[in-house]
Amino acid sequence: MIKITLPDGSVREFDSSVTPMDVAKNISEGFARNVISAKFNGTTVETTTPLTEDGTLVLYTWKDDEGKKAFWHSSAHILAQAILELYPDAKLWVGPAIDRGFYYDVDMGDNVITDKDFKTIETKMLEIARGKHDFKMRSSTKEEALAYYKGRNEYKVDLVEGLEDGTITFCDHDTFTDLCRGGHIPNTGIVKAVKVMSVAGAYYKGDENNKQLTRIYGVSFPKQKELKEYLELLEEAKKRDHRKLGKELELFTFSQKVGQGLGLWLPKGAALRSELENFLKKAQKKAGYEMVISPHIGQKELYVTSGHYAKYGEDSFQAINTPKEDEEFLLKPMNCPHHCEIYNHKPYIYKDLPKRYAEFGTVYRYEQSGELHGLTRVRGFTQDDAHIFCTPDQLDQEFKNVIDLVMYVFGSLGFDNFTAQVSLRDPEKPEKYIGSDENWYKAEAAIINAAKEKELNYVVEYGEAAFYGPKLDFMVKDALGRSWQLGTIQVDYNLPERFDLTYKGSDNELHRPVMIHRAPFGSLERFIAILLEHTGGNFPLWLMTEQAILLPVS
Amino acid sequence: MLENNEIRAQIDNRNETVGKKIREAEMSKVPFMLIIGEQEEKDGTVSVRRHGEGDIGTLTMEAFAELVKEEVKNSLKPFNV
Ligand SMILES: [Zn+2]
Ligand SMILES: [Zn+2]
Repeated sequence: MIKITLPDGSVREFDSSVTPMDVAKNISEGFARNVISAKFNGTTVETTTPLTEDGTLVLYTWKDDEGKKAFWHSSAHILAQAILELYPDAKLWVGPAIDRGFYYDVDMGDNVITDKDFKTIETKMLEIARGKHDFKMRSSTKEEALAYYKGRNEYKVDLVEGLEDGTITFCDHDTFTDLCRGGHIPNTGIVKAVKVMSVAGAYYKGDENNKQLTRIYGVSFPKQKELKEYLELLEEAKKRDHRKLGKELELFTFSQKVGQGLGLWLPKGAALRSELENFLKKAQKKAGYEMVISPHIGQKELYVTSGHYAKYGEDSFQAINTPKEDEEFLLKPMNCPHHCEIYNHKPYIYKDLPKRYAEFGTVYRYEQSGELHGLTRVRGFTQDDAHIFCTPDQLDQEFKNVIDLVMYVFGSLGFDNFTAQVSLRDPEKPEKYIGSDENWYKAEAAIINAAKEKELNYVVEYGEAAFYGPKLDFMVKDALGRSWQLGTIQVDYNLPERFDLTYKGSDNELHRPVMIHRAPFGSLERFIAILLEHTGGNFPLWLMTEQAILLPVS
Repeated sequence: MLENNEIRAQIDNRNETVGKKIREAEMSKVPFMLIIGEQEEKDGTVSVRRHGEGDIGTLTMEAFAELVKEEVKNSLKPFNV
């Protein structure tokens, strides 16, 4: 007998060699009908894999991300079979599941696939799916695997060469077989709707010196209705693309002459921006923040001290030189170092804290041109930045106050659907983090306590904290169901150390303040982009820079 | 009148057809279109079209200003610390 632990903590006993699907049926026949994939002791298994030891079993349906992954991974097999049946000379390379669907990279030889061929491929895929073929895993020796692919597919030969003998598996279904690690749905029949979305060129191994393969993107669903809804959503997303709306509403533009990734705000966009800034300024003033202003550049030494030079120096905008030799300035990638020096302008005692310095600070980071995207990925952007310097005992209250502010921002802008993630230390590797144990305990307890008290819908992730402090992130769902990370609150024990920030405690000794970085919008550029896609340009009335237009008829 | 109520409004006085003005206002997603014909001018009212909803009736300027103020108040609560 083996003991299987389920996610709810319940334990059931089975004969050895029970399969995940057997366990699902043991739970309920109805549930089993929806189960499409499984994880055993943290490893993805087939629903037909015999389990031979005690362990934890998680069963997934289409509703789970893991379920979707298995569904789309399996659909990639079906796509590959359809391609080979339609184009027998095609050579497959790899085909993973992605965020929304799957793709397969194929050497099409002399054939070219265009959107005119999509329908034929879809029809073929559905024909295969309807056969309800089981996905069956099979182990193979390296020798057998090489013999199978030699002379017919050099890409797969190369893949097999890179694998250890004893770890090689194939997946068979119908007449098709593919080198594969596993993670399938039970059979092809579960796939009821497919759509070939697009084709693109993709270099073999991602190296532009290699041959260009054809990447065929597809998506599939267990119901025709879901495919229809998905396509409608995509259509709506296209209409709401912030780059398109930004042009139509004359909010912003880009100029090749000015440079890629450097947004130019048009009068209406500038008005919208300042409306948002004023909204936040007003709330922040109430919350006890003080506005500061700092320059766009700083001496290189400033960023060496802060550690940002090590992070952004090499790959970012290069130093600005002056007539004076050895003098170097950098465009600021972050506002924090300047704010630390603002804190340092005079000595503080504990009664002076917390200090809350806010600035709409523009920062510059060099993003690869391929990474740039409208206003969401740019090379210069303005953060709604603020840094709070407080005593460790004040952290609790400050954290709650910041959460209140972030929730006020979300509420006022119509983001009602959000979750939070609390990122803590990896309890097994305390040496990875700076700051005293005592302070970490305090900060982690403060964050969890604040999340609880504010009734946030949150998850705790261990090991996700930065080396310099724990944090809380908000994930916001927009009107089209897409998730965006907004409003990070980050505790920092590092910069106060590096900038030698102090305050005099009630004991008359010098202590280190704790620093909190926070930005409810993140950046105005990215936030406005998200807001445009969330609302389709129909902002809440208070934010509309033009609320009414008078049209005299006579 | 609208200015006094802190409502951000523009007048489209261009020498264009009403149809074109309405289409352009529609495109720019301005929430309220206030159409003032002869009758409205005489009565001191405006015929109000809401973006995405269409006609919502003829209102006095005061009633319209009240409508906007109410919605702004509902969508933007004061921040309480
Ligand atoms: Zn597979
Ligand atoms: Zn910062």
